[in-house]
Order: sequence, then C-alpha cells, then structure tokens
Amino acid sequence: MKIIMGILYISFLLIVPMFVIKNFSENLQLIYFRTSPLIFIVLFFIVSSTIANKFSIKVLAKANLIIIPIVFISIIVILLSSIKNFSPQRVFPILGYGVNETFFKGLANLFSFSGIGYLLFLNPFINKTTEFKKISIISIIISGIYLFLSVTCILLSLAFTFKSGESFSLYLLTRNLEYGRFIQRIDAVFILIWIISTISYISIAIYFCIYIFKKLTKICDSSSMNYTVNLFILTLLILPGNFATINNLIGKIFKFSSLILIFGLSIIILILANLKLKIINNKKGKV
Amino acid sequence: MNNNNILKKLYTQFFKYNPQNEYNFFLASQNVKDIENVPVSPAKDLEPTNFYTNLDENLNFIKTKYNSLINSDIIIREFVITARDKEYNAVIIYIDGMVDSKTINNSVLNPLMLRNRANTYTGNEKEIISEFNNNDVIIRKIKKFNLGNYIIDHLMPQNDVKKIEKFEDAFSGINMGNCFLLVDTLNIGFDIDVKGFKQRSISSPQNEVIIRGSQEAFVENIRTNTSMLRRIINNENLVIENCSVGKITKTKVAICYLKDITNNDLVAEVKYRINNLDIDHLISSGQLEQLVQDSTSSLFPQLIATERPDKTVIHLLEGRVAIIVNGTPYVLIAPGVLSDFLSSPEDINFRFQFSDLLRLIRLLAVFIALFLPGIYVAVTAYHHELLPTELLFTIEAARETVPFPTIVEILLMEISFELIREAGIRVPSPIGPTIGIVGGLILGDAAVNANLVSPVLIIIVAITAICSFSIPDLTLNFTVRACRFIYIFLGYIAGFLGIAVGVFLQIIFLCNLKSFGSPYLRPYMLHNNKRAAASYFLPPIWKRENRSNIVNPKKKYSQGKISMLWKNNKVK
Repeated sequence: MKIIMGILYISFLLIVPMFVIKNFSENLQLIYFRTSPLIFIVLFFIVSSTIANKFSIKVLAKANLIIIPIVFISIIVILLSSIKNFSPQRVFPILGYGVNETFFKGLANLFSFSGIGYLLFLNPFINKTTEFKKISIISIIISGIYLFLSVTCILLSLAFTFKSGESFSLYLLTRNLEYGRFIQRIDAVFILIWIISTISYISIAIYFCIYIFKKLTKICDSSSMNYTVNLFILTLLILPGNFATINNLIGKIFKFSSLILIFGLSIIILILANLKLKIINNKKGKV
Repeated sequence: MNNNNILKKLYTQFFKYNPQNEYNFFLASQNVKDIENVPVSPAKDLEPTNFYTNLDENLNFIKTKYNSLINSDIIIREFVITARDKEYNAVIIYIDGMVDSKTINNSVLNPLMLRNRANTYTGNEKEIISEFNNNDVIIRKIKKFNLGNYIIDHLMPQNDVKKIEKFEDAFSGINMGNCFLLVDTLNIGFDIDVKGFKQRSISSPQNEVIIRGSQEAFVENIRTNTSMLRRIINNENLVIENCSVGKITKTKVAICYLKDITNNDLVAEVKYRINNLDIDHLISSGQLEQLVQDSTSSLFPQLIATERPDKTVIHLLEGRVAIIVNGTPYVLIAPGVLSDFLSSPEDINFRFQFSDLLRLIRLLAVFIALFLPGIYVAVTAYHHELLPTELLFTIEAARETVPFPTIVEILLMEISFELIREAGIRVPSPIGPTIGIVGGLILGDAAVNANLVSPVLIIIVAITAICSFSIPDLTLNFTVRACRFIYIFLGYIAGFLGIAVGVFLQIIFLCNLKSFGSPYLRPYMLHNNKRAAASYFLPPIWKRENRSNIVNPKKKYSQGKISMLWKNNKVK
C-alpha cells in the first residue's frame, strides 16, 4: 500500500509541475515571446528549479517566506486598483450556467485545492510536530485569503461569461489597471512576481517528489535524483504537441484522478491509519 | 703585407667564434621539497629548541638563523653584566629600526653594565622564603641565588620582561621589535619589550566618513587598535586574545569579545577557524576574511570590515567577535548579515525617524543599483507597454541614430563607467577628479554626440552609479556591481522572465548563506522575536531593550524596560 500510494503521489507531483510550467510558459510565449520556441521559456523554469532543489527544504521554505508577502502585496494592489471596475451585479447569477454546470461538471475544478496534498508530507520537516495542526490550519487560512482576494477581483470585475486560462485570469485583470496618464500598463510587473512564485511552487513540488522517492527506495543520497526528475519533467513537457492537447489532458484525466487521490484515497488511508493507531493505543492501555 | 694583415684581420673577424654575449638570466629550480608547504629550513629536526647554558653556542645559532653576516639591520651587542659583584658575559640582540634606542640604553644596558647599588650588592647569598619553628627546631625554606630571577627582579627596570626558554619564542620577540637578552651560564633568555618603530598616528576614517560620530580610525598597529577598543568599552569583561597566523610572517591576530555577552560557541568557532589555517603569510584582514568565511563562492560579504572603532564597539556590545590583524587598519567583525552591510554607524546618532528614512533610501538605492540597467534592457527589448507612450517615443527617437542593440550600448557604458571608477582610484589623488571630469562628462557627452549611446542610457547609468555609491559597505558595493551585469544579461535574453529567475535564485542563495552560524537574512527570518519585523529599521531609542538576536548573546537585554527613568518618575 505504501509503495502504491508513493507511486501515485510521485506521479501527481511530477504531473502538477509539468502542467503548471506548460500552462505558464504557453501564456508567456503568447504574451511576450512570440518568436521564441517554447522550450526556451520552459528551460528557465527547469534550470531554476534544479538549482533550487540542490538546497534543503529549509532554504526553500525561507525563500517562500520572502516571496509570499510580495505576492500578497501584488494581490492587494490588484484588488485596490480594480475597485473602480467592481460591479456587484457581476456576482449574479450566483449559480452561473446552472446547478449542473457549477456543481457536477465543475466538480473537477476542486482540483485547484489539490495543494492540500502537500500538508500530508509536511510533518517530518516540522521541528515541533505537536504544532502540525496549527501550521496546517494557518496555511489553509493563508491560501484561503489569497484565493478569496483573487476570486473577488475576478468575480467583481469580469462577467461570469468571461473565460480564460486558469493561471492567467488575474493577468487579464491587470491589463486594465492604470494609474493616471503615466502608468497605463503594469501587467509585466505582476508577471514578474508570479514567475517567481511559480518557480518557488514548482521547486517545492519537485522537492516533495524526490523526497517521496527517497523514502520509497531508501536511498541515502538523493541529490542526483534532482537532475533526473527535472529532466524527466522537461521530457514530459516536450511530449504533448500544444496547449490544446495539454488542456484536454488536464480536463479529462488528471483533474479527476488527482481529486480521487487527494480527497478520496488519502482521506481513506488517513482514517484507516487513525483507526489502527487507536486500536494499538487501546491494546497498549489494556496491557 | 699590410693588405695581407687587413685581409687576415677581416677573415678572423668574420669567421672567428664569438660566444653569445647575451645576458640571459633564468630562475633555476631550487630542488626544495615544498610538497607539504613547510618553511624552507635545512636540517630542521637537528636544530636546538631550548637554550644552552653556554652563551657562545646560543649566539652562534642565533647568528646563523639571522644570517648576521649579511643582514645589516640585525644588531648583536656583546657586553659584560655585573650581578652581585660578579661579572657575566651577556649579549642583546635586536633589529635596528624596530626598537627604541633610548629605552635600550636607559633601561637595559645602563642598569646591567654600570656598577650601581643593585648589581654590586653582596648580601645574603641565600634567600629565606619561609621559616617556622617545630619543637624548638627552626625549619627554613631557602632558595638558592638565582641569576635569572635576580636580573628580572633587581637589575631590569623595564615594565615588560619575559623569561624565555625556547629559541622560537626568542625569534618571535626579536621579529616583533623586542630586544632579547642572553646571559652566560643561564639556559633562559629575556624578551624585553622595547618596541619603538615608526607608525602612523591615529587619523580620521578615509572610507567610512560620518558627520556626528567619532572621527578616529584604526591604524596598522594592533596594540593601538586594541587600546582604542578598551578606551571606548571601558569594561573588564572585554577579552582580547592573541594568536599568530602564517608560518613565515607569524602575523599577530587579536580576537576581541565581551565575555559576559558573547555566545561561547561563536568565540570558539572564530578561534577554531583562525587557529586552523595552514598558510605561509597573512598580510591583511582581507586575506583573513576570505580564509575564515563560510561560503567562499558567494559574492556577498560575510564578515563586516570596518576602520571605525565605534562601529566595532557597537557590534561587540551586541555580542559579536572582532578580529584585528596586525598591519591592517580594517577590523573584521563576525558574523556579518545582510542588514549590517546596509547600515551606517551614523544611524544611531540620528533620531530614529531620520535613520529609518536613510535606511529606506539605502534599500531603494540597492534595488536601483542592482536592477535598473537590467530592467531597462528588459523593458526596451520585451516590455514596451510598461512605458508611457510619450516616454517610449522619446527613448525610441533617441535610440534611432544609435547603431548598437541596447545590450551593447549598456555594456559599453557600464564597462566604461567601471573603468573610470577604477582609474579614479588608482591614479594619484591630484589627478583623480580630472579622470572623473574627463571620463564622466567629456566622454559621456562625446559618446552621445557621436550617437554611440542614447542620452536616456546615460541617465540610467548615472542613476545606477549614484545609487551604488550610497551603499555603505565597499564589499557589498562590489557585489551589487557584479550582480548588475548578470541581471543585464538575463534581462536581455528573456526580459522579466530572466530577471525573475535571477531574483528567485538570488533569494535562494541568500537564504542558504550563513555567517558563523547566523543565517544571512537573519533579522528577516528570525521567528519568535519581537524585533523581527523591525530589525532592519531602528525602533525609537527607548524601545531598544532587546539586544539583537543575530548571535544569540548571553544577555538578552541591553537596557531596562524603561530606559528613560527620569521621564517616568522612577528614579531610584
């Protein structure tokens, strides 16, 4: 069971960065690098995540401590700047295209919360394991605030009929921001901040992937795995022909399978593990 | 006949063998085994370590070691001393120019050579140390006459005299400017402090100029520097430990710390690193900095180098360790974290509002100096939309006549500027400003008129230069200058994507960096510390109760919870 779950999570953690890089790179190519090949953009992400993964999780965590407030400020700036475009009417109709579209067909969109899966592997890296619950709640709250602010901006500024790629909805919003006559387009600054945060996210996902592999195979030194995993992701990135193919893959297969893995299998295993622990504790109590 | 002679002469001159008379010097291999980097010394194992009782043997060895026959400044003065009315052969050895001749004459030779009451005294030969009565039997503990002690106790009116048993210590003392006394029949020598070499007097700082603070700077002499620290700290807890570094130079290094504040582990680590250096010579603190820092590949400075005693004292009072190298007017302070290199000793002299404003401006200056040229390249190449249309037109119009791409243009200007700066430092000081005027004004103007660079670029380079000058630390200034070129390159190849990757990697490297166990971004990263949020920016002076937690000092607080007692009517 341990090996199966490990392999499933490794696959998940390999595919997530791949999708993120592909999605982000395609968008970047579309906006700024129309004449450059996609691999040129992709290489920036891969190289930086390879270098970042040469260091420990402590270093990655510290880097995030710097990056997260910057991202937060960027979202606040977007929120404040786009207030003038807010229209409460845009919230309606609350169910959008209807119950069926929102709750059943849109069920796969819960994939956006798959980041919760990382919490399952966080425990060994925390100095005080007793604070794990506190850390989990705080991280979920912080993520919730980010999500709420982003969704508020998009929901109140854009009509519900508006459709865009997942990662660049906010970008479309930033294109309309202007501050007087002098600063009319500052979307590139936000792109710069998001690139940094994306690289950080990818690095952490790859770090966990290598960590699980190390646990499964019990290898002493996993430093060389860093190159292997990053090269593997690079290879995966080159395989699909275009954005449409990858979108199709995300929509049809990956979203549902990751939902099953994180919100289904993992929760079941956690419940079973909890029961097992209780039984063991009870036995110990009797003895 | 004459013709024959002439022909013969011509023939011999033409065909005569003329050995090549070209001066051809080359350095032949000395065939010295230097594999383990040991100092060259023939028959090292056979050399004596301790003094003989025979003066001639000692003297011969010293003469050989110092090559006294060819060394012009080694002075060996043989004479006869009188002690207890007996005469002994003696010799003093010193290096001319490093000692104070007056002190030698008055405090060494005069009392030893001239007959006076002390050396002609012939009282009890045996000295009674203790005496007690046991059943009417008097038991006395008697010490025999000891010439060595007698010389030190009675004949040498000198404040710093040490008894020495080893040749190595004697050489060390002589090399440092002491006078060494050897007396026949004694297997010990006397290291007498008579230093008197010329040295620079204390002057005002050259590179860390401040307005309202002390105007004293360190000098090359280690003792002068330690005395300056003692004078300011004025506390017996200041410990100044000495050690020597370098097999040949044996450079004196002083490790200074406050024993009741500084973390013991930090002191131990500093001593461990300094005492475990396998080098032949140590000339400056810059060398030592590179030898003891954590990461040798990082561009960022990891030890603070300062010429100001007041700045050193501030850090010592925070619980850091200062390292003074003899011969260098720059003192190293360990550990050094990023915020230290952005702070000026002037900050504590101003009200916190002004200091914080200055610190904010300095932070801004670092960002501009680091990123502005890179951002300019990225914006002109990829992100035109960031610029307002009018400004874009102005830039494009200015660039229209420039034949080079932006990257060539900016590299040309940046490299020219670095050259001007380097030349300005190296040339004699009267010509320095001329270089600035010729390089900065005339060349810049000519380059724009010749359409080699655009005027906007000149503004960019000038702003960058001004901002880089406002960085208080010289080493961080170098770091920013070096990193700037990386960002220019990244901005050129991938616009903001390249810059973002550079920023991310820089953050990662900085997060990984440590200086003597303190994370380089410590004030920002510090958790469970109330000062964390305001570590870079100074709080009001009455709120600075907590000592900086960067080095985990023994004492947590540097002032009372209410420091201004007079204001709260809490005067005891």
